[in-house]
Amino acid sequence: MTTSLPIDHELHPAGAQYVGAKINRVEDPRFLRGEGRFVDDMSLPGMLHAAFLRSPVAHANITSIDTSRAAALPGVTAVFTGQDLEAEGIQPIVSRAFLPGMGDNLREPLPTKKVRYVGEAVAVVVADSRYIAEDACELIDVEYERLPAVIDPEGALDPGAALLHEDLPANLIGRKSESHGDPERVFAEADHVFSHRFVHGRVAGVPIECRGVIAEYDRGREGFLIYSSTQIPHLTRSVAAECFGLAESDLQVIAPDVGGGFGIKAHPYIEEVVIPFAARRIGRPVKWIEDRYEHLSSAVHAKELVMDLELAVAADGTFLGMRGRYNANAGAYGCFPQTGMVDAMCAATLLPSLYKVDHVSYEILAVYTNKCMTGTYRGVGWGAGHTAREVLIDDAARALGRDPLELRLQNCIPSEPYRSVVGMNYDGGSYQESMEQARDALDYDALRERQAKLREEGRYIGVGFSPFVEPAGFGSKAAAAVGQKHQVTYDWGSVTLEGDGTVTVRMGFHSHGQGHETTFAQVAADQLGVRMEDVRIKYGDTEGVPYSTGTFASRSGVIGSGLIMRAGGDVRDKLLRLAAHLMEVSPADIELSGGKAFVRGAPDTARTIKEVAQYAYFGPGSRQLEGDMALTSTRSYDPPESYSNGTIAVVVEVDPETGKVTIERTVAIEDCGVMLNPTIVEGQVAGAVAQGIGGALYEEFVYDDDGNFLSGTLLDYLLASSMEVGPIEVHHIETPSPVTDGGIKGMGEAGTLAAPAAVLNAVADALSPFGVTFTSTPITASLIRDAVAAKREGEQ
Amino acid sequence: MEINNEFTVQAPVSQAWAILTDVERIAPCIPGFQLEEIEGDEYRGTMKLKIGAVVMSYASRLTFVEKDESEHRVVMRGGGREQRGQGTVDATIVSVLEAAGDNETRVNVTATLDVTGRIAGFGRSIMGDVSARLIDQFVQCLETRVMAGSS
Repeated sequence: MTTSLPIDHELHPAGAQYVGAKINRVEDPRFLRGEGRFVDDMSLPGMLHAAFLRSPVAHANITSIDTSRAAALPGVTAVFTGQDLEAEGIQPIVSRAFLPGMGDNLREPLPTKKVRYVGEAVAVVVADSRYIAEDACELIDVEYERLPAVIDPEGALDPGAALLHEDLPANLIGRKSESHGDPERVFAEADHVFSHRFVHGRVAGVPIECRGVIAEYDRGREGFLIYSSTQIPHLTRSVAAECFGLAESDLQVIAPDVGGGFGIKAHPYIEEVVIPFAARRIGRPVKWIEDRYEHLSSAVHAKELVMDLELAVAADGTFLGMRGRYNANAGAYGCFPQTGMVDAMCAATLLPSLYKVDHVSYEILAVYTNKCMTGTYRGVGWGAGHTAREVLIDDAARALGRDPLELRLQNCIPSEPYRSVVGMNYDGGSYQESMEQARDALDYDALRERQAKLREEGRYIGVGFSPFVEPAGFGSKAAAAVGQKHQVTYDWGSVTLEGDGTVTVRMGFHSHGQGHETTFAQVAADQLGVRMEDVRIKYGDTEGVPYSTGTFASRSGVIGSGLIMRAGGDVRDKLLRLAAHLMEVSPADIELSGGKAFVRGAPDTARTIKEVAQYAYFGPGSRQLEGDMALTSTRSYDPPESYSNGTIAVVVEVDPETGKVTIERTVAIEDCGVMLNPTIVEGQVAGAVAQGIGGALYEEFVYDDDGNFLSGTLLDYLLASSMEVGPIEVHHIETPSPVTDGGIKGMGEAGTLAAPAAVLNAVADALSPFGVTFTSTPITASLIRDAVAAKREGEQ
Repeated sequence: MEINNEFTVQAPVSQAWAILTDVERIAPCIPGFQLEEIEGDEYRGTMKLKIGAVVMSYASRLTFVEKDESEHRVVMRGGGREQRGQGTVDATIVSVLEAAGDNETRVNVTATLDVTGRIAGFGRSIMGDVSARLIDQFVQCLETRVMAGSS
């Protein structure tokens, strides 16, 4: 496929040698040697340590808090509660309403009146050590007046349900309905209607590094230095500045090395307000490192949705219409900035996915419940909605006696750019080809033969397909396409040629596993013709890099590369003029490559770029050039909607007696447009698939009916390890985006988004002789075993 | 959360009733319980509970809500608060005694529990196991120490 770029800058200028190459991550040596610098590695002079007292109850009025015993413990400097913050006018974190009838959600940094979930911070102790602070927490006496806990999302709006937020009329975060085409008619006329209620389990990213904050207050300048393990230093600065009533640049937020985020760290948190408050009150730096219980109970959860889906199908298998109702069990607060609507909105707007369906309607709502608030986690609601849809399609295929892959191919959209009925503008891809490639990679016919043969031996293998299209390169237009018009994204970055010929890229796209120091160095090196090792990628410090909404939603690769191409192109033009001036030729005759500038076709004329840079900075002759010759440029980029696609296929063997699922093979076909670095792409796919498999089979945050949190350790919340994930084969298709800079599409989430459906479909396919189907995640071994047993009993 | 247990003791109902409604006599047999003071009809003490590697210590109190000798039904309310930490236990315990033979009494205990804090996070199934184990220990102690002494 050819592509015409609508823009004047190129991903591969003459002499380019890095973009598209398989290059190992340049950041890995420091991590492998244990030389990364994370928040917990930081220490400031005079630093104290904080611990939070967290609520043991799901819903209660705070009748009284007595901190006197805790404050009296030797080594304790101070104890603060919500009253202390309120007394100094610290403002709540506000997630603004963005739908008609929706209310703003206010979250006090520490609650003054109520607690609303188990794990909610109630007070903070600052002491000489974390040990003392933890001991002092146990000496705080809090009297709670218990209130009924709201746990079930379907009951949260009942008139008798306890109200979480007294300033709101109901436990409703927001609600919205849309209808496109004439779904009522096609559902009335369809030969077949398939439907199910699918309940997606509550999951989260669970990074190796929990969160952490260090804050120091500068009394003279009246400003803060804040270290935080966050994906979004600038947004964190914006929110904290608003809470304190300070100018944004009165705060410097630094996210150093961050040990994984997965969207969980893409929200500002109350600790990023409370710890700075404590540091200001005490006059010394304060550090808080989140422990695993705190992380599991109070960093955002995600994807808990009750989904009622319907699929209308004609006699020949043509998909006619889809209807969906998505109720997000969003927890106690609206996370900044999207609120708990994020999963429902994402699930619903991607309902038709890559199928040609002209009649679609949906209702979305999100409700407050006495659980941890929900936010974004890799694949967001796209993944939950995708699982519910793809499982229903497999159920439909079985009922119709059709091959699940053939049925999907019959209904697949063409590869050209396509506007979905709900208004998403897919920029073209390899929707059918990726399914065919997955089929071929599996040797599908032979696999079906083997399946039949093994069944005769009493062994059950199955195959599941999960073709996907996913919004990526998330800018303001993509946000609008998924119903998040309120989420304005804004990103700029700069490229500078230093006086020694090295190149510095400054951008706000934090890297916490994405390999930005590698891919962005590839792009920048190609733009300026320098060697990759001469490029430095700077991020994470709000004082050191231009504004960026941050790294999430597969956006950094597209937007970051676009920024470097734009700003780098500006600097390249100046570099060419300087080299031409120095070498007394025309700029059009100069080529830049491998750290040298030379007259095209005459490499022996080369000057090193270092020489050119030194000439620019220190050579008096360079001042004769006209125009602004600053060897730096700062540009912004807000890309159009773009969508990656692919197919994940999984082969499993299931033991019907124990419910144990063994993953034999995972084939991932990934089309993310023009690839910057296939090694990085493959790593992202593998990690995302692993998290998808975990969510499909093992992971779930469980609360009991009283709102007690039952998943407070990693023995309760089970992550998939390499033992469970099995081998993953990644295949590439490169369909350049016709709309983004360089034809790049974002990637990194598809495995988490699409793998669960492939796993569920594979397990149901394996157990099809028993008639077992699934309507929830995770499908744990005991759930599978019970489902098989129930079917066997039913037959007797 | 409701937990139901049943046990039998080798004693006629009238004797079992007298023993089981006498907190001071049975207190030494309640695993981990240390009776510290009695004020009116409220009994106060410390209850230590071991679940796996976790040991919780509760400042506890116990009162009789109902003592119906004719029906051999006794209702107690107990409450505890972690001595270090924020967790609480509130329990309503209904015990019904009935003759299971000349010299044998069956005791049915239904505890309605409201548990918060660390042990609530262990979940319902482990609490059922733990309470069954505690009752086993209680009964064994009752039979070897209290009943033996009173017969």
